[in-house]
Amino acid sequence: MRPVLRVISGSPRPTRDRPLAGDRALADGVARGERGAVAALTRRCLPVVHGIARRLLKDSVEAEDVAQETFVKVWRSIHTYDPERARLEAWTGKIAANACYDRLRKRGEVLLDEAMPERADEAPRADAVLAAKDSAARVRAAVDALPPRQAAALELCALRDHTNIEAAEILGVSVDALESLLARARRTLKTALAEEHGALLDGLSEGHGGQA
Amino acid sequence: MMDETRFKALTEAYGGDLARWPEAERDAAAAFLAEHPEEAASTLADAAALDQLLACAGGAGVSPSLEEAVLASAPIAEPAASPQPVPRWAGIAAAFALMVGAGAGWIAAPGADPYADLVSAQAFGALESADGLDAITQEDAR
Repeated sequence: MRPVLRVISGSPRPTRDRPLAGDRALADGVARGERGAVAALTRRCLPVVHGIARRLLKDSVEAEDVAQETFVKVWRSIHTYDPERARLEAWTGKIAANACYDRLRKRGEVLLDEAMPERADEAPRADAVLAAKDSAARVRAAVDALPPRQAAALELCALRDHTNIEAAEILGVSVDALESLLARARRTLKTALAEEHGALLDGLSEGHGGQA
Repeated sequence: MMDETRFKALTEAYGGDLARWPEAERDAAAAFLAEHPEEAASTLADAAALDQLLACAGGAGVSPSLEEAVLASAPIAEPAASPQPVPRWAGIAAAFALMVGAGAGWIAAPGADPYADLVSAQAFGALESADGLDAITQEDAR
């Protein structure tokens, strides 16, 4: 394989292969009320829980409420956690996603069928993207502008390193539907960030040319 | 065997890094990549550019106040009220400390207070004679 292809194909991610025994020990420690175990689980799972809530609810204050609500449920039901079925991040993420869906139902927002477009207007909020000054801010604005489940799918698979099976389980969709959410999200971002994407592609092709 | 349509569909969904692709499809994707290096590399590079942009943006951050609130909601077990069990080595350590203390006292004895030695000698000397105790008592009475 050419060097450039090896770079693109990358290497397996060790976080996905974390031994289940570690998750079981951590959950047991939390169940016993050990301060260190509680802190470790919070540090590991809070970013995922908060990320899902922020993407699905599109409201940072409500996302923090859901994150706290999720962990109250986690402390109460930690004895039911089964590491053979899910990593702790996926288990807590699923609780968070369900809490978000409950809130969305209470808000009166109907969850559309996963095969259908989530919203009539899937175009990025061009004004927000264009107003952002630097590239990172423009990317953040473009991701924030995505429909909730597309943004959540991207958060889990592209930013939080979850497998497709885990992400589908967390969001309560099929793997095919997850793939569709991800592909639509990436297509939308590519259009919204055409300038940055093009510049990066030029840089990559120059680098490839140098190595060939 | 993977075809070009599936390879493109996976790239569009999971990006340009095969390590992020579904585990069940990675081997077939690698085989396709080896068989069609030019077109596959072009597809992957296009997706890798978007991956880089996403990496710049990062995930949503967590505020310290939220972390504190979550930690405060956790039921933490109070430490046990009963004393900790004495470890087995404690007896040996105590005996060693006693020996060191006694040795240090013995070595330091010649430099002890001479007045204390005199009082001690008087007391033990008085006990040796039959009327010594009376003598001491009378002397104290004066």
